[in-house]
Order: sequence, then structure tokens, then C-alpha cells
Amino acid sequence: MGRYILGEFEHLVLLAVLQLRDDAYGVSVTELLSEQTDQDVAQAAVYLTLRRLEKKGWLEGHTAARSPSSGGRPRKTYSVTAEGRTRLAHAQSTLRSMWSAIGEELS
Amino acid sequence: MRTSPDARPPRRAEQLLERIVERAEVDTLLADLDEGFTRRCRVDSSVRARRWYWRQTLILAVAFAGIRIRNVFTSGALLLDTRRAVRSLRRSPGLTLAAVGTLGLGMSAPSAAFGIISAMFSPLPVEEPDRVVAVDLLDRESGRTFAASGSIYSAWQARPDGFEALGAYDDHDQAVSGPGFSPVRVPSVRVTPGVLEVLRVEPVLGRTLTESDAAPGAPRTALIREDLWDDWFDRRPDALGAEITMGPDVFTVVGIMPASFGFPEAHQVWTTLRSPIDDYAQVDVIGRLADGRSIEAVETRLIGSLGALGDSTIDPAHTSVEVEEFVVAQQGRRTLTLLWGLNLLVGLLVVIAAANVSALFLARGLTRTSETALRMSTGGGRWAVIRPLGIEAFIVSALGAGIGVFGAQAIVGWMGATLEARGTLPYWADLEPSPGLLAFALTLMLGATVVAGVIPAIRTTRVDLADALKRDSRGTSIDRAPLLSTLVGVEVALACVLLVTSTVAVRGALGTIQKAGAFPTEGVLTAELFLEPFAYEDTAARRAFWSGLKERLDGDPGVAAHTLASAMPGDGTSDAWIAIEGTSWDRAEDWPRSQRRVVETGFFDMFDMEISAGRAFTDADGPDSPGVAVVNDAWVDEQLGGASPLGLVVHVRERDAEPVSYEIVGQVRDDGVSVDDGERVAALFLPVAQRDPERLRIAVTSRPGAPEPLETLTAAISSIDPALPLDRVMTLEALVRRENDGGRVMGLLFGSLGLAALLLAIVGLHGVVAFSTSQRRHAIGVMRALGATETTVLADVLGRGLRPVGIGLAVGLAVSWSLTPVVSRELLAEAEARAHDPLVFGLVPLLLLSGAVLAVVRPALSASRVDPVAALKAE
Repeated sequence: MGRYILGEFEHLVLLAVLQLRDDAYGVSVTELLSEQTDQDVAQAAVYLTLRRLEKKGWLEGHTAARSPSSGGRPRKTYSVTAEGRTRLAHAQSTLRSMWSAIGEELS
Repeated sequence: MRTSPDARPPRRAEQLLERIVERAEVDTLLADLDEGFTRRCRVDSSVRARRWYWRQTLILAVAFAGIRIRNVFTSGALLLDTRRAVRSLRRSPGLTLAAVGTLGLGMSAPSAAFGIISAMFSPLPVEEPDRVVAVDLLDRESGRTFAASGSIYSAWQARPDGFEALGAYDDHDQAVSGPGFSPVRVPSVRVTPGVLEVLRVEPVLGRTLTESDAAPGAPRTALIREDLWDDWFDRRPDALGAEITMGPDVFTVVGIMPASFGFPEAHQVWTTLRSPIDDYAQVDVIGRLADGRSIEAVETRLIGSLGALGDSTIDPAHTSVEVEEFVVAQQGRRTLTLLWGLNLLVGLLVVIAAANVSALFLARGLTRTSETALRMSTGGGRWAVIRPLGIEAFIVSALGAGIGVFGAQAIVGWMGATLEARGTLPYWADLEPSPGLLAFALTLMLGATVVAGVIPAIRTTRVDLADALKRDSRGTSIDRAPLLSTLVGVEVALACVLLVTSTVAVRGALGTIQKAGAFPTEGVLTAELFLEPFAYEDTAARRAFWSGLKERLDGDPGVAAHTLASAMPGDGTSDAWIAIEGTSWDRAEDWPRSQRRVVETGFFDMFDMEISAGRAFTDADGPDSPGVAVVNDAWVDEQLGGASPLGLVVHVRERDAEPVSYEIVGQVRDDGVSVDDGERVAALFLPVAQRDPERLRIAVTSRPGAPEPLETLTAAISSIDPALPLDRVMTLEALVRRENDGGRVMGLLFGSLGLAALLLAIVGLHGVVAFSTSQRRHAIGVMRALGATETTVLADVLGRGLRPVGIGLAVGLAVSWSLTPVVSRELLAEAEARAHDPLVFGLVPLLLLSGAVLAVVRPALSASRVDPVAALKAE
């Protein structure tokens, strides 16, 4: 299953990008993760993870037009690649089978 | 609290990211951060938003720096840069050799100094050496430590609170003889069994000393070292149980200690210091701290209990206790401070060397401005330019450090061998290169890399790209590059400081060197004779021996000359208090001191010391005739202002003895017989027959064809006392050489240091000026084409080259002026007054200036001969 390991934070970032569809970029991913995990997520950490996932081939970056909200600089948005989706699906099935083996023990 | 919509992210944080993150990526990164910042400002204060921005920046900066470093190692860029650096170094072999040699020379001296300090202060080769401490008494007023008395040691021993073990020892140097070997003097020490418990050293054969050996009336036992076991017993196991004689006593050897053991310094025989120790005996105390006890805690406890010891000789108001790690106590904390101070001074050499190489690299870098600009403009960025230059400096520094460590090891090895041959190398001295030395050299190497390579590289990359690309390589001159001339100035200033200090030190050291050729030394053999009190109990016995020896040698036809003396010419001796009759002193301590030499009648003749007034000693000056003395010219000058001493009576008082009166009957010239600080030493000579010396040195020369002096001497002595050993046998030449060793080594050390500083400054200056002049060929060509004469060009290049030298020299002299009194007083134990020696302060600038002119004149001459047509055509 590929040469890279999918870390927990990477997993969350990939899911956030999927959820945000066309509007996935550093700030929006950070805000979504902070909201959903109820933790103060560092934007720098998100940025570095997005960058790493792009290098692994699970995300694809697109440079969008310059916007006034980003100080007139070009914003970079991300989408999940087919490889990324496969990796997520695999992670989901692994987690599901692991959880089913545990059964009701933790509930 | 909301913030105004005009709030801006911190500009410096943005600049930091712009420097670290690749250009292609930084814009999108800043876009996200700026938006995050704007959103924060909507809900929070600008201060908090800015703080948030900085936090994100620092996380990103660290992460991207890590990524860059990893990329260098994984992308092959490092290999490529290293290849480029090696190629570049090979392209200019002269520059590379100069840089490596300079750094090697610069690093050798401080590394050697570091190696010597590490060796002398290596930890004791025992288990947990930091727990082994020396316990001394301390005179609060003078700050000097002194050994405890037997009674104090016994009191400490009775309550060894804070110590796991406690022991006492005293040096007990005696002649040793035994089955199959003649009497010989070996360093020996008496120890309580506690000492061996403290040190936890096991014998290679037999056993150590135990409490039963120390019991009153127990048979006397001894331990000998492995090398003596080898020499005396050929490593035979029957050495255990063998009897050796030391002084009046016979000891049974019960154990062989390892060759690596030499407690307390370089000792070879250990006997038992028996209980109870005499209350008034002086003993050195050593202890092993109990687990978990600190030196400070134990020291405080001992100080606190000092008053309760009930020793009437100790007044706690004036006396304290000092507990120190054994090696530090043995070598002296002051020695350690001095050595580190000297090391700091020697370390200047590395700074000079690094500044030197830095200047060379900078000069070369400035000629490559357009190449640098080209690389930077093609997207390489500053880092891509700095990296290969840094690697070049690293390679040069690493090679220099290699030479430095190698040189240092050679110096340390030589010093160790010299000390070992003289039997003064402490047994804990570890002469192997220590990890500390390697770490020290590594630190020097990295420092040199930064100074010599990275700083010039950063300076080189601070170019205006457009301007640099527009200009072609017209080179640079030393005065157009402020950093370059600053480096030359700094180098000259440092060299000046080092030269002044080392010249002051060399002058001091050479002053202690006895003048060669002032007295005959050829063929003179000397040896020391010590009449031990147990064998020679009274004055009559000792006088009988000395006069018997004289008679015996007088009657030997093979002996050309012989004499006995407390010290031979060129050898140091002790002082006595003297008072000329007619002068009065309130207290006996105020009496002037003078060197006192006890000599036999033939002494002055044997060493060609001419009697300038009165007479020398004769056989008539016996023990029962009136006391007579001879003084030297220096004594007459010092004590009498040159007036005639004949007929004056002088009272001579030795330590703890009543003064004895002597009439001065002669004055002797003694040029160079004994000098100190370059001055003749005032000395008073007394006849052997009228004194009662236990220890004297004998000097003998043989007639041609007669047996060797050693043979004659051994035969003469053994015919009177076969058990008396000849100690410290050496030629007079060797004796004087040994006496001069300290001065010579210090002179050599500081002399080479000063010379190295001078050499480095000259080489560095020459390199820089030659390089910048060669780069200015075009400008010089234009000057010549416009009518400048050879002299004008010569003056121009000389002026440009010497300007920073002049400034450096002025700064260096000012620093030296304020530094030398401190260095003289604290480091060299020299008189502060001589620190501002006009000769030194005149000579050094002259030397440096001559060196600088020498360095600049060659490139200046070659520049003045530039053919304008050829120079301009070459452009």
C-alpha cells in the first residue's frame, strides 16, 4: 500500500480538503480543523502538512488568482488526487476492520 | 478586542520567511499567513495577532531550514559543491597551501597549549578520581596552603566524617640498596595504609600495605614499582620477601605496584608511615569523599571543627582548611589559571591565522564579483554562492586542524619525553590525544571556517547584481574593500600584541639563562653526595668524610682538578640572611638576603674565577680558625656601593640558627657564574671546612689518558663509604643545561609564538597586497598611460598597502601598552615595571613595519613595472 505512511494529522487534513471541495487552502483547512477538533490548530503545521501531502502525491495544488484578503498575493488551493482518495479509502477500511475486531469494548 | 483593518503583519517576520523559503513558494505561503493574520485581527488585538504571526513564522522557519539542510545532503548539491570547492582550491595551489599552512601553524600552538594543560591536569587514573581530594591547612593571610601536623591528621582520622577513607603521606627520599644492586636514590614516599584505600590501586604481584604493617613494632615492609622490579629482580617472583635497605632500616618487599602508578607524583617505592604519627611531623593528607558528599560540604565541616581539635598551634582566626581535587592541589590552582591565561594569549595566533586566510579569501572573492552576481541572478540565490565558498573554507580549516593536532601532539610528546627523562612527569599525565583536544581543535576549525570562509562569502554576495554584471572584472584594491583593510588592520594589531607580549616574555626567560662560556665546563663531571644523618651522626663524622674525600682525590694522579660546593657555577642555590657589622636592623627578618655558596679551596681556581682583591680560601681556613668569607663583585656593588669589602665582618644567619660571623678576606670576579634576569647575582662564599654541610656537589676533571672521572670518583667514594650513593651524576654542561631548561623552553615557546605571529602577518599582508595589486593591473596601466611614473605607482601601491598596517600598529601598540603590565604580573610573574620596556616597544613596531614593507614592496615593484600597453590590451 504505497511507500508512505498516512499520519493521523495528515488523515485529518486530507478529509478537510475533501470536505472543503474547491475552497481548500491553508486558512480554510486550519479553521475547519480547529472547529471540528475543538483545538487551536497551528496554521504553520497545516501549511507544512499540505505541502508534504502534495509531495506524496495525495494532494494537488492549484495557484489561484491574487486576492485582496491574502494581501494581494496568489493563494494556493488543494484538491485530493485519485491516489489520495485510494489511500483514504484504504485507511478507512483498515480502521473499520480494526474497530469491528474490538467490538463494543470501548463504548 | 478588534483591530483596525489597516493592521499589517510584522514586516521582519515576512522578510525572514522570504530569506528562508524558496522564491517559488514564499508568495503562496505569505498569502495564507496574511489572510490568517487579517482574520485574527477581526477577533483579537493586533498585538496578539502579531504574536500569532511570529509563532507561525518561527515554526515555518525552523521547518524550512531543516528541509533545506536535508536537501543539501540528499540532492547531491553537497557533493557538487564539494567538487567545485576542491577544483577551486586546486586551481590556486599557492593560495591553498598558504591558507592551510597558516591555519595549521595558527592551530598548532593553542592546541599544544591545550594538550599540555589537559595532560598536566588529567584526572588521577583511579576509580572516581573526582572523589579523591587533598586536605591542607590554609594561612588566611597569605592564601598559602601548608601540610597538616601529625596531631591534626590524627584528630581528623579519629572522626573521618564525610570521608570514605583518609590517609597521610610524606616524601622520604632515601638511597635504596638491596641484593645485587648498588645504592641508588629513588623517589620514595611513606604512606599510611589509608592512602592505598583512598586510591584503590591493586598490586600486580603480592599485596598492598595494611594496618598491621603500620602497627608500632611491626616488621618494616615496602612496595616497589614494576619498573624497579624489572631492573632489580628481572621480574622474578622471589622479589616478594626480598630485603632492601633504605637509610638505616631494612624493609621486606611485599608487593609490586603497576608501572602506571606513581603516587604522589613520580614515585617508585612506598613504605609504611607508622602509627602513631608524631604530633609535630608534617604530613600531606589525602581523602576519598564519602558517596554524595561535596568538596564544599566537607571543607565547611573541617573548617568548623578546626577550633575543637585542641591543637594549640592552630588559631582558627588565621588558619583555615582547603579541600581540593588531588591533581589541582598538587599542581596548584594558580598554575591552572596561569596556563589558561597563556592559552588565551596563544589563542590569538589562531585569530591572526583565520583573519589572514579570511583576507586572502576575501581578496579572491572580490575578484569574482561578476561570477557571483551571475550565479545569483540565475536563480541560485545567496545560499548557492555562500555554500561552496564555505565548503572551501571548511576543507582548508580541516586540513589546518589536522596539521594543528599533529603539531600539537608532537610538541606534547616532546615535552612528556623531556619530563619523563628527568623523572618529573606526574604519573597521572595522560599524553595521548584526549577527546577534549580533538573537540578543542574541532571548535577552532569551525571558528576558522566561519571567520576564514563564511564571512568573506557573505561579504562577497552582498553585491548589487546589475552594477556587478555591468562592470567587468577590474579587480579591487585593498582600500576599496573596507572589510579587507579592516582584516589586515586587525591582523597587524593582534600580531603586534602577541609580539610585544612574547618579546617581554622572551626577555624575562632569557634573563634566567646562565651565560655559556663564562666558566670552563668541558670534561667536568658532577655528582651530589648526601651524608644521611643516621650514618653521619655528628659534625666530626661529616668533616672526616669531606676531608677524607679531598685527600683521596688530591692524591690521585689521574685527577686534574676537583672541588666540592653547595652549588656549581650556573646552578641555583639557597639564600641566607646577612648583616654587615656596623649596620643595625630592628628585626632579624629585616636583614638583607644574599645568595650563600659553600665552596672548597680549589673552587675559584677550577672555574677560572679571578680573585680581584684579597685572597681565596686556603687549607689554613679550618674549622678552628676565624671564619672567613669571599664575596663577588655584584655583592660588593649591591651591599657596599662598590667600596672595598676587605676586613669587614659579616653576620650570616641561616634559617632557625644563630648568626655566625665571618671576615671578608677576598673579592672575586664571577662574570656569568650565576645570573638572574640578566643580572649577575650577588653571592657570598664560605669555606666548606668552616661549615657543616650534609649535602654537597662534587666536580671532577681527569687528566688526559687517566680513567674517566666517574670511575675515579666512584672508586674514591667507595673506598671511604661503600654504601654512599652518587646521586644526580651529570656533566657540568648538562647541569647548566638543565638549569637553563625552564628559561630556554619558555624563551623558545614565546619566541616561536612571536615569530609565528610576525610570519603570519607578513605572509597575510603579502598575499592580500599581491592579490589586490595583480587585480589592479588595468587601473595601474591607465595610471601609467596617463603619465604616472614608476615612482608614483610604487608610492601609490605602498601607501594603499601600508595604510591599514599603520592603523593596526597604532591600535596594537595601545592595546599592548595597557595589556603587558597585567600579562607580566599575572602570567609571567615578571616585574610590572619592565612591562613597558622601551626596547620592546621600539623593536616590535620596527619589526612589524619592516615585515610589512617587505610584504608590500615586491607587489609594489612589480606593479610599477606594468607596461601600460600590455595591461590595457589584456583588458
